[in-house]
Amino acid sequence: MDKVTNEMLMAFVDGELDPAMRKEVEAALRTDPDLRARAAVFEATRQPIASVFDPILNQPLSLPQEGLRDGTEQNRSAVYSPGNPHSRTPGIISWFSGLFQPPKTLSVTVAFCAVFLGGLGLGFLLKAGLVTIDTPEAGLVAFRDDGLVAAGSLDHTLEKYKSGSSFVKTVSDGRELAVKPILTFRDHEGRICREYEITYPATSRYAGLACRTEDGDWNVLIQSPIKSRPTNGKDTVVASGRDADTVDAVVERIIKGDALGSDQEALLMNKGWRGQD
Amino acid sequence: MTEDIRERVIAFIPRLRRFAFSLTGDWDRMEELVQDTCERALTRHEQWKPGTSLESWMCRIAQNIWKDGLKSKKHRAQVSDDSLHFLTGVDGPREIEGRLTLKAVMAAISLLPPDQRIVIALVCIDERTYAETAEILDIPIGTVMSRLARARQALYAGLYDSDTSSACAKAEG
Repeated sequence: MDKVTNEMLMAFVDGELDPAMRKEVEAALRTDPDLRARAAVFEATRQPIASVFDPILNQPLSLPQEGLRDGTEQNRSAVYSPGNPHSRTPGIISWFSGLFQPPKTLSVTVAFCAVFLGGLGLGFLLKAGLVTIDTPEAGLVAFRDDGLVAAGSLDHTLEKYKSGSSFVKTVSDGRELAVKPILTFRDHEGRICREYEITYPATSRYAGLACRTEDGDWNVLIQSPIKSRPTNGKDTVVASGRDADTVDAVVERIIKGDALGSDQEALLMNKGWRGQD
Repeated sequence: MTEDIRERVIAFIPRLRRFAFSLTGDWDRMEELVQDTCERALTRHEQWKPGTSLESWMCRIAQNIWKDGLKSKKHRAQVSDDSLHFLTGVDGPREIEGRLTLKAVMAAISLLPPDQRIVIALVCIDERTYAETAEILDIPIGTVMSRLARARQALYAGLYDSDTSSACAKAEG
């Protein structure tokens, strides 16, 4: 390939290249560190950018039912509460329902909007696949036919973050979720495996281990809470030995050789975790 | 108007709000833009061609309203702490490697020219393909790609370089 343009690199990162062109760019990336540095610009401005806007999707929309019934502005503005304490506007729902104004159908519209966009509505949206909730309870690990695989922020972090660095985001309940890869190694089958920690909320931590499959999934082998104990009567907790009895024991059993150094890890990550020993 | 269109408009509101916020950077103006977009979509629904994407059509309406607003009011997106802290939870610069806050991202996006902000909003935030983006904006894919590549380089400089003024210069260039 003569010259890989920024547009080509960006399309590669965004999965917009046809298979033949993708192969060519992949080959060029393997041998050209400058190219990888240019590609990193587009990596850093895609998923990481999108993820900071996700909480907006999950902001609840409350329905100002009383205001809709009598149509007074005073009542409308009094009940609007999209999760923003600084909101001063009656908001989309009171206005939206107002569009469906025929008196004989208003109550039906109100009921419809309440179910759709109120507390019950979230479930409906989830079922419809329109809303994703990224919490340890839902979204970090997915079921597949061949086992459990990392999803959402866990998948993103294992794919993109070096060991020792954390991906942190505020999830729908306002609390912070942090995912941090701990170490990377090859197992006896030649797979790339990564040990990680999840913190959510601040006082709960989980240790886990996932190995990358040929399909590009991170197959979760084990994930368990890290036992904690209080310190000096303070609220903070610390790990009582980073779950050596569980996750580390599995690591010791499957690891081949030593853990990868940061250079080896970075090289593999830049190649999309594909490559030879 | 069919019930189906109403339902689809309502179902699209969460994504439309995210898209609108990425353009306006302000909670109140986001709500205003979403309301105007929905109103126009519902009152002019006969202009939508069945068989095409209703959601893409609404994105086109939204970005047109937003751009028209820029021309008439001459205002740029302003990132206020009040409108963001409830979403980010944390103020200030990145404290941990890999951490980005909505405030930091919106501040960097607000430095981009409007046309670049729109392609960022459509591709990077609403996760539209290049082809969908080209269709929504009625421009060639090549233009989408060149505009998007420039926008992301400027955004990267704004987010990761210490000298944010250089990002502004690049974005305006």
